[in-house]
Amino acid sequence: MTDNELIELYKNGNDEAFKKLIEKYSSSIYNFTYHITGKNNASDIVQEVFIKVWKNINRFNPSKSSFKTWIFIIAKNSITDFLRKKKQLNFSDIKNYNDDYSFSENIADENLLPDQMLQKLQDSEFLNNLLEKLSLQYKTILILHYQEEMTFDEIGKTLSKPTNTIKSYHRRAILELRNMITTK
Amino acid sequence: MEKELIKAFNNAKYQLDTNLTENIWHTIIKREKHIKRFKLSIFSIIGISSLAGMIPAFNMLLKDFSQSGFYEYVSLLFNGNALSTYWKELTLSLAESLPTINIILSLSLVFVFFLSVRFVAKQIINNKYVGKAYIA
Repeated sequence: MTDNELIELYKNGNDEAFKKLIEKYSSSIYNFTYHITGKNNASDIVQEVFIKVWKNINRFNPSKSSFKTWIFIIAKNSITDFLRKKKQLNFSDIKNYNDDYSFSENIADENLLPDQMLQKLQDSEFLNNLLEKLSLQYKTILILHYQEEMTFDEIGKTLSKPTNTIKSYHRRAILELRNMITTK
Repeated sequence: MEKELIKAFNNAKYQLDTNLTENIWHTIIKREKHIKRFKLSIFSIIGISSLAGMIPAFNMLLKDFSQSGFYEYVSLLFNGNALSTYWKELTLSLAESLPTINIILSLSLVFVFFLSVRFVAKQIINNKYVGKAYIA
């Protein structure tokens, strides 16, 4: 059953349909939140996200975005609120790039990460350590693209940025990852 | 590269606390029941108030009907000769003698009462099915 069908069922009085949506997305939202805010706050934020979804479900417009994009926008906003309260960085804080990347910009996409590095990344602990050190913006794009398998267009909608900007950030994120692996 | 990265990132996924989904669901159900109970009490108060308001409103309406001479004009309607000769004047007088404001007030109270009864019934039914799979 699609997300839109579940939403319709819920709107028609079938509460179990909403439970199915929670079951479907709680893991993704939890993982996304965990990577950005840490374990201690993830559960509370996930709960807050689903309560917001429940309260605003009538405002969801399937013609504007998919439910997945919509729920990730809510998650992003909840995380931003949390980070603001903690006076940490938020999603719109753009890292200032230095000129070190000028050489790397010329590398073809498929060669950004050599096989040896990709092999190293298969170690989940190693990858999570790298992600922890990565800037919020880059980390978010990589998680949404590779863990949630969202397109650059969907990520752009989620983070309210143009698709080309997301593509550019993605490339820079991979380069940052590459630099981090090299220096390790 | 894409496939390897997807594989690597999926390996690095954090596992969800098994109780979290149930906790979220129970919190939502609790809040939904709370909101429905709140709506139920509000509509009950409105329903009871409109029912109580109907008594003086109808008393006033009956009083206005008798003071305006409405009953007299109605009795003239049953007098065949008067109706055929002065039907225009009689209809106008009958319309003028209607206590319009009180009629509107009384009908509004009746409308509000039935509307709140409908909402209360709806809330009771919905509250019974909160968290359930299907409403028959």
